Amino acid sequence: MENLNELIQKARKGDKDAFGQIYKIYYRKIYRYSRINLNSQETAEDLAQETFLKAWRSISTFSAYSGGSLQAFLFRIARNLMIDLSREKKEFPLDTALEIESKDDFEEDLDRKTNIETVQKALTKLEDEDKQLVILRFFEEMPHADIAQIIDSNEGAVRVKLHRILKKLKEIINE
Amino acid sequence: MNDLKKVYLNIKLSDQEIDKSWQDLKTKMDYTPKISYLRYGGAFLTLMILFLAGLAGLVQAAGPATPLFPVKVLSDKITGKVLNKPEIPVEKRAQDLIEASDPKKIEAANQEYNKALDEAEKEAEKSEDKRKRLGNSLEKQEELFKKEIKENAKAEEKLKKLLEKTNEIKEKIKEGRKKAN
Repeated sequence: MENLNELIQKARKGDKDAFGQIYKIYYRKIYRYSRINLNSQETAEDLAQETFLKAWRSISTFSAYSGGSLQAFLFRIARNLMIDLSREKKEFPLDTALEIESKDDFEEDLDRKTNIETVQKALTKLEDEDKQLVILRFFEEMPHADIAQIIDSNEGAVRVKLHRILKKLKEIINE
Repeated sequence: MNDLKKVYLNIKLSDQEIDKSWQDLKTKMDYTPKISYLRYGGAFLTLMILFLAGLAGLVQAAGPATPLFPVKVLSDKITGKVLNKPEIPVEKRAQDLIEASDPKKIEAANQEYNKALDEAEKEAEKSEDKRKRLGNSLEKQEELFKKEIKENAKAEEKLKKLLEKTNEIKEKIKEGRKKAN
């Protein structure tokens, strides 16, 4: 596989196959980030796909993305789409009931959903921005610089916030 | 935290699901540029229309001795030419003059009214229809000026000479019509 920079350069020139390789590298990450923030698998899939569609349309501006990484670029688009979605549809809070799917996969799905819901429930005790910081830093293990770009902040502020969140999480766990 | 992370990282999709999703996205990417250009083209067109409408509004609202006034005068001249109605610029300038209050504006409006009147007179010589329309228009203006002078004593000073000139041109046009008939 070609290196990421080459793929980005080709995609910027309109090479769909190169963008397809980028898609295959990052789609899982964007999907699970969407999935943990949204209740429905279908909505998460749609949002992840919309993220890449937006990225394709704006990839020509990526070089001007103040030296940021492609990962931060994609996560930022996904985050903004989620914010738009939550504004449009207030009926997508994380604590609503499970969606209904086919009987065959029901048990497996239920298991998976229960696990996801466990994480979601633990995270609902945090403010939205704190939740994003936990996901991006502790689950995705992203560098502070990338996180700062995604949540539109600066590295120093991200470090301070993460320190505060860790303290808060300890308190929640000890309760 | 580690347990939560494990669950999070366990949120997975199969390679087939990702392939299927990519194929689906690829079809949307094919249509994107067209839709995008249309959208941006539409937005650009809307902005241009709004800009031009705003500019036209500003121009029409411009009073004598203001930077946009020459544009307004030119635009009325063009309207008169296009619609083949030489009386249009004269009527517009007469209205400017009635509305003008300070000496600078009165002076500018005065000059433009005189010019418009001379130009309309020349234009009216070209056909009987134009002479007729300009004659009727000047008659109305004469009445308008007289009414204004009656209602506003201060207006007499600024309109008296123009009233005379309007009357003079009106008479010339009458003569012209008589000769033509």
